[in-house]
Amino acid sequence: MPFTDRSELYVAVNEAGINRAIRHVMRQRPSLFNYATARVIDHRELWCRPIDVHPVVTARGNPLFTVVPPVPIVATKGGYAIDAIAQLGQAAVDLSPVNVLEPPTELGPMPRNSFAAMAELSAGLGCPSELPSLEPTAGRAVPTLTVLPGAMTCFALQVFGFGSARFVGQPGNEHIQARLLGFDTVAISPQGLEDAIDCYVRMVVQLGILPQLAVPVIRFARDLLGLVHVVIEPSLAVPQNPLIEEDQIKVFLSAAVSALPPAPPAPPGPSAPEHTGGVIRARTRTGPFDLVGAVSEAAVVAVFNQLLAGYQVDKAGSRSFGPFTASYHVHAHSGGGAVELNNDGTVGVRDLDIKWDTLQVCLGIDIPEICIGGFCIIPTPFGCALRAPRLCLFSASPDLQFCLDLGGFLHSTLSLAVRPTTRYRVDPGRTFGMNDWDARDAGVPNLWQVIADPVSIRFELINITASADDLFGDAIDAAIDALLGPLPGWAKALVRAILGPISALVRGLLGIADDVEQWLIDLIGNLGLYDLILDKLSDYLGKHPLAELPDPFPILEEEPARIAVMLPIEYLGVQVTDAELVIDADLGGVP
Amino acid sequence: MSVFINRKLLEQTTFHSTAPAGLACVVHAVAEEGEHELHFLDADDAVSETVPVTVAGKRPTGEATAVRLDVNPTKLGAARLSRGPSGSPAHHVIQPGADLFITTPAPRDACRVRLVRKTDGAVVFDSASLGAGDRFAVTLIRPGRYQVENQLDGAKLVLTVEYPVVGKQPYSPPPPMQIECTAGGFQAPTTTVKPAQGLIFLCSAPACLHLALVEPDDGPHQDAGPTRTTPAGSGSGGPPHAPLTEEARSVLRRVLRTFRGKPDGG
Repeated sequence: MPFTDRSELYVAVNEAGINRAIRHVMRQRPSLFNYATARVIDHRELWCRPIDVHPVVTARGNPLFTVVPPVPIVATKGGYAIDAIAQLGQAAVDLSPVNVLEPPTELGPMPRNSFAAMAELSAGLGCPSELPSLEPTAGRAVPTLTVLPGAMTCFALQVFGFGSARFVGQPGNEHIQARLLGFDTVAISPQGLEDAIDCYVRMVVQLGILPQLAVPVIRFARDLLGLVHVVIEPSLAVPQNPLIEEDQIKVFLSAAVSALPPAPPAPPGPSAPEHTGGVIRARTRTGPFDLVGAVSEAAVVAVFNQLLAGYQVDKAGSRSFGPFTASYHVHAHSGGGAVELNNDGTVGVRDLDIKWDTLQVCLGIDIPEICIGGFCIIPTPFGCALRAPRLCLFSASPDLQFCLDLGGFLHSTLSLAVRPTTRYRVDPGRTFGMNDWDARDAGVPNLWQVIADPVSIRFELINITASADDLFGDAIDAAIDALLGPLPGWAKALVRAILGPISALVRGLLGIADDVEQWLIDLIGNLGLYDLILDKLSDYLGKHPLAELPDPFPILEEEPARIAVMLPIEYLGVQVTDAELVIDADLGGVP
Repeated sequence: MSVFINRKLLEQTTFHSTAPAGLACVVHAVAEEGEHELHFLDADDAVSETVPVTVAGKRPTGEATAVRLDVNPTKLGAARLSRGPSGSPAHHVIQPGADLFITTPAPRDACRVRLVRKTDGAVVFDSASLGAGDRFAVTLIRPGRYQVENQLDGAKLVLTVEYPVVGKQPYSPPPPMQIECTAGGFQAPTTTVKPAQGLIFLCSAPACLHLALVEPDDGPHQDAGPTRTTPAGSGSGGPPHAPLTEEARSVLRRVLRTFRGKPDGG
């Protein structure tokens, strides 16, 4: 059954992928998981546990902790306080059905459509090993004095919880956010203390951490379908959405796809850079993919239509054919066509019209020189001894050029099959030593691209939808008129009389046997214009990806003094079935 | 696209055997051996250029013909300036029976030509007075009615050049028509000729021939402007035309520029 049988877009992430993502988030945004008073932050020996941090976090001076105020010593009316620290260590989720973690029985049975989560929590207070001599401050208003700790008194707890996921946020920009359903700390007594800790930690997670980990899936999907205008929202056709089952979280999105308006004319100057040069990168892992996405046939068709709408050819050139020369200027674009997904892994495009906006073919020929006069004055038995002066016309080479505007009359179609494939492109603007965040800042991130790789292209010239004879005759007459323009009527008549029927003359010079239309079709082919159409289309598809994903892929935007959290995409694959386009992805691991 | 048309030649409607130019020429066969001089005369009949010519050798027989001497005032004038290693002026050596072929492409360069025997100054040939055996050949292109006059005896002939017709086959002018120029006047097989058909006037009596368009034929559409009779001897200009368009002027300027660089026009 297709993934998109109930929605246009489908995304499923398995628990292994989510756990990899959690580790990346914890390394790249440590301040979200580590809290301490300022003095403790500055003294690594006071931390309860070491922090595994991404080197760029350190290089860019991002904080490892979020600063919290010292814990006040009650009854001192704010006179004294002590340092504190709380750190979240390893964390993992186990999507329904639970088969990796072992949640405590106190949590009860796991609800349907939920996940289990486990984390190690370390916390401590900066209690002095020996209470120093301090003045009592009872009844006095004094600045708070944080008592110097001897060493941190840390403890570690293992916490478990059940959670579910839901869409939150404004329509059009919904995020997926986890929600705690139950929470328990392991082996704390008395029960009241455990309950109190559970309560506090649950509030920290629910109100503090999880909102900052909301994933903007709608925006991700919209960016992926960047070629088209798309309105995406959570699908209402699926009762449980997101759905957590089979060790995955599955998201169903409805998408209303429409074509983008035509791009305005590009300003003068160099054209926008094209993202070429990607290479195929094979998968190195085995087993299930971390992420599986699917795009319905309707959405794929819309994307292809938009892609093909941008195809155009503009070229001018010339070629000599011996007795005549031919030059051309062609501007063509594509339109129409029927896109369909084939069961052989390709996307087919049938009867794509090639619209020849301009197809001007100019022919330059040498009209035979005609001479007036030159008759024999003194004939001899052996020839002519003396000839009269003569006046010759059409001695230039070529002396007649006429142009055929075939643009509106040529009817041709293309049919092609492409195999969507992925390539990995390292931006050539990326310099040695530049890390992923530097590349992102410089606008030169590496890209995973989905390319439509042509498998076959067939060009079919249907016909010239006009009387080629008329086109030909009219063009020649106009050219002769222009050529003889300055001459008086009687002189034109004489030249035309000597030349005879011009059209027949020119056809003879061009070697047109009978069928002008077939001759023109052959000429266009000999000029290489059919090959040009095919080559340019192949080139265009190679330079214009169906979709692009930056690698690493940002899931949390940067914040002041905090780098963006980005997930490395180790592999991206794509395949086509007769119902949808499926994308498979693996996230890179943490070193 | 370009076309080179010597429009002055195309529209030439006046021809004179005294100073043949364009599509007209005079042919005179040199009979006497000896040293001669070609004299080119200016408008006042004063000698402006002199070119030495030696007539020597055996008269060719059989298939061989004497090499003709092109008497083009412009070219021979230039030849006069070219001197050999000895520093003497270039001169021409021709065989007895060789033809003097007198013409010049541009009517403005045309002039009267005389061949003078060097020893006694006797005039052997004068283009102003063709003699027996001399020929005056001309190609009439412009349709209309022409008058031919022998200005030495007043004999006249009216010829009509037909308007060209575009047919199913390319038009090729018929062979030239020969007209006898005798003491009793012109003897022509017909008075109607096809456009661009050649005319050869063969003289058997002294002649000074002048052809001029007297009534142009602008064809069924009359698209060459109002017709006008060109007075005889009024020069080589054709009938007036409708005002030229700017495009036509531009093409004409280009043609004229090109022509200046290609004196033969073709």
